Amino acid sequence: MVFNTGAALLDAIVLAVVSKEPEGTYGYKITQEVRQVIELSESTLYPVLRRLQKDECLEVYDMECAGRNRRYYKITSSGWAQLRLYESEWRQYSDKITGLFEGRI
Amino acid sequence: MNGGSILTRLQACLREGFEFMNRTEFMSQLEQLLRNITPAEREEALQYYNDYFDDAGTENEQEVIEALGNPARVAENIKRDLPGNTGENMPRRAQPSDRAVVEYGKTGTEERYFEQDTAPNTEKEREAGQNQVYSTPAPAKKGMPGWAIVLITIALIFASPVLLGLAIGLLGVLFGVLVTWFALIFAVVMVMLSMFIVLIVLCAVGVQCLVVDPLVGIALIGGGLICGGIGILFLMLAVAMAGIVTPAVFRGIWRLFRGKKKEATV
Repeated sequence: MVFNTGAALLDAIVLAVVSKEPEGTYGYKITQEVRQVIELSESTLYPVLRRLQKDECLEVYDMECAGRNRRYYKITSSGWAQLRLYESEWRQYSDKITGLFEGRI
Repeated sequence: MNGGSILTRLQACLREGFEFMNRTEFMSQLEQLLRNITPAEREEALQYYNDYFDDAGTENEQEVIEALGNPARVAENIKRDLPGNTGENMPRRAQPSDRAVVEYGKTGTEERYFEQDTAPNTEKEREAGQNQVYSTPAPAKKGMPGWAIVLITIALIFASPVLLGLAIGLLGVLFGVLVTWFALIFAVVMVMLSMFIVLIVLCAVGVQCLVVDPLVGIALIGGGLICGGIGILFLMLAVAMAGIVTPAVFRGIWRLFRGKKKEATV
């Protein structure tokens, strides 16, 4: 992959991954799913999740699983709004660049 | 248990000892590095990585540690986004410095161009290892204060003649040991050759003497055979020194260096 993933795009990808699970999902699984789309190091995701949590795009709760508490991340309504914004921004951005490549612009 | 599995386990143990740490060590190092952030933030981060290890499963523990890299890097990633480093509660937009957050896998070479000016280069960081001091200014971070670095630099400059002398001395010793070793092998070979020559000469003379004086002849041949026996012992010694010990030592040294290098890039 030659293209760099900036913070906003990374936020968008993480929000999209978390939004697929209505009941919430956990750090390890999110990492694995993000890694199917872009290359990123395993230590990159925690700050992103923490930031999204502080910005109230994600909420966390602990649930017992196999005798221990596991932290779950779930998208909030403002997270949904942010994700919608990112999606429309992405559509515009990628349309323009695709258009340029295909000679429409 | 067969020999193969013992060997595999031994290798695994050696690798763990030399190159990798285990989860407990990783987590305690991370905790140390996060001492200077608020307890709440620290707990949060530690819980995340504990969860991460639990979810990855014990069988993947080593892979996770390798993928996470050194704890200093993980800690830096955690601290980078904390309040005090950047504006709190601000809706975030992509900033040049944010790129440092995204670190790509080991495969890419291209992204270095993009990251060079903003993020510390992955490879450089790895070389620097765990005592790495990051260049990104971060008020709440552990690391050497500027004056300590200056002092150490000055100390190194003043100590450099001594250090250089020491290094040259060590090289000299190494060279001396090497030369001595090969001289020893050469000496053993020479003793062996002369023993064989004595064997041939004594036997030849002894056979001729048999006619004149059988007792003297037999004594000469006997002496020759004793020398031959000693020669064979030296031959064995020479083979052991040159053929078995020397390659083993060199292989050992090579492995040591290769092991170290590997550790540095992990």
